[in-house]
Amino acid sequence: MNMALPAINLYAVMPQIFLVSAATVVLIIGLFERFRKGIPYLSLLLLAVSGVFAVNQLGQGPVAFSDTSPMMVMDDFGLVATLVFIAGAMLTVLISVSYAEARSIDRGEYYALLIYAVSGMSMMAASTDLFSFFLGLEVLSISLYVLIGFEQREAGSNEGALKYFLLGAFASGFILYGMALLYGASGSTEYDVIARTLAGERSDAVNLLLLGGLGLLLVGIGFKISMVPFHAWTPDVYQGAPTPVAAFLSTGSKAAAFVVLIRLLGSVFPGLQMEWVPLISVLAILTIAVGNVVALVQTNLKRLLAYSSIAHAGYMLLPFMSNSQDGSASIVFYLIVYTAMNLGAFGVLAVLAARGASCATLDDLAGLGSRQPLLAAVMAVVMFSLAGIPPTAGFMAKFYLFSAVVTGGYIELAVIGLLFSGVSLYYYLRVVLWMYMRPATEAPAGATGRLSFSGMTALCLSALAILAVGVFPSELLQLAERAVMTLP
Amino acid sequence: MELYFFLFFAVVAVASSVAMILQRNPIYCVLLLIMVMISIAGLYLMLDAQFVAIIQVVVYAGAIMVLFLFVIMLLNLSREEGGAFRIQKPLAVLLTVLLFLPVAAMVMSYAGGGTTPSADGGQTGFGEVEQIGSLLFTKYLLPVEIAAVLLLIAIVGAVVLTRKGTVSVDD
Repeated sequence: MNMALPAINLYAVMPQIFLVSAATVVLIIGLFERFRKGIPYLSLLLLAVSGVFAVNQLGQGPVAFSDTSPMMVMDDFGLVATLVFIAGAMLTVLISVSYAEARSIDRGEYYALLIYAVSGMSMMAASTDLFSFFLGLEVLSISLYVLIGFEQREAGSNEGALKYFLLGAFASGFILYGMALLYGASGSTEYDVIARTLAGERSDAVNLLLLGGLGLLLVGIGFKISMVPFHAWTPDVYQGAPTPVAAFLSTGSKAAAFVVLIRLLGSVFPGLQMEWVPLISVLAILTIAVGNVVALVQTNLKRLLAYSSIAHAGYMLLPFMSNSQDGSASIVFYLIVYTAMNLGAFGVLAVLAARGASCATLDDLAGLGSRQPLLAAVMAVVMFSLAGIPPTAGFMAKFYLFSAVVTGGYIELAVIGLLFSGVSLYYYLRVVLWMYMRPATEAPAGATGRLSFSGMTALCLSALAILAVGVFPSELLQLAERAVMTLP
Repeated sequence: MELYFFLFFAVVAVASSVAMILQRNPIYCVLLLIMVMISIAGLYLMLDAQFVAIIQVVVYAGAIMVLFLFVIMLLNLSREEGGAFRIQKPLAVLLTVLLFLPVAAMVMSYAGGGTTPSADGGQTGFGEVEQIGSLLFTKYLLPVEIAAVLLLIAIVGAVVLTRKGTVSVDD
């Protein structure tokens, strides 16, 4: 038979090709025992190379993979998202070095899976078709299931992996059902075609299918961003996972899901806005409330950060209501800042854990200010930023986010969000208080002495970035605005 | 005639899935699940999707279910442990009923003359290996490539997670 091969444009999927190849190279080199020490640095190099190429592609306009079935598109939005993921992964690699050695999980597969996860996130961000979105999501999820369970000898790591796997598979099922309904309504999996079906005349039956599909998609994506009521896994999984993996999980995978949500809600489902705005506003407020209130009583640091990340997901849901470019730009800006902040917070715990110091609870941080001044300073900057105190990036991010919500006309949502954000001051500042005001009862093992160089580099970089963006936010904001400009 | 076939497969599928849920012996559950798979394969046949029907039998009813059986027999699960989920049971019934109502409403609205989005039925060669193959190499080229990456990750993950401890290989 005659089969016309479609005209494809590999340039459009370059970032993804680079990342997948990088991961595969790391995987193969990692098999040789003699290169073991070099693997993290090789991963850093390859990630950096992929990043440089992605930067070069910025501004080259939307290019689709193929005209007949686009599947993926290379535009500024996807590229900026990919750059954020790559930066997050590079910081994760840096804080992993000493942690992985201390826990003897420093194998090539660890870093390879990390980069595979980044490629999956990048696929999600570039997708313009439900097919490639789902496959990207699975590439990300399966890598994460394995990474969470990487510390095989730790019961917590196994428990976290199993929990995330079972619930994640369930969430994927919801997403697939949603996609099936959307396909049934529009006869295609392409975002554009679904959007056109929504824009045209539609019967009640098709409307029901579209609503059902959107609802099921929101359940699945809500699980990934730990939106209440699909958040129950978050604290257990973060607590059990290896600390750098928890850092990656709380930033990268969440950011990827948000990026997809911006594409879906912004350019596919504006036609159903009347229906999803009330739903998401209630869920966003619930997410903010549950995250902030439950975080108040946490003494375990990873659980505290888990609830704080739930609350942050809630803030980031608010600008969706106004569905404007400003709103989307403020979400992208928040995501970038949030990645730096959360990687910093988990990074401090990872660097401490690599020294063999226990850093499970608040009490373990007592006296950190005198034992490890630099580390404590980084932690303080990160906590101030998470709480949203100027002159940190966290303040700027919250400022743009809430002003976009207010401009959109949802003043009451902004007020509720800000009130709960005030509540969050208590538990963030408590960490700072414990570090500087409480003397350590007894010096824990490995509490003093030199910390891992690469880990400290990553932490100082993110702390500096937080301060720099807090003072000069305009460059980053312009990048975020440019990213959402390319969205239809 | 077609209606009778449809009814036959549909009734067998629904009845075996209900029986599967009510059954306490895991081995019977798996066997009933195979029944469900095979009757769904029959439904695919009626939709002219021969290839999908065969795959359904070979992959699901064949390979995956055998794997299920192996796991159950290896784990020596004889009977479900009773006593758990005391509170959850009535709650589950309530929630299921609540969920069922909108779905039922949806189905009813179809009976009232909604549109049925149809696949390209009736077209020559629909559902044959040839057409599916050419779709995989044209329209779905990129997803097939990503699926390859996905399988690689799954294999690596399985090896990583099942390797006992951290055996050092330097000698």
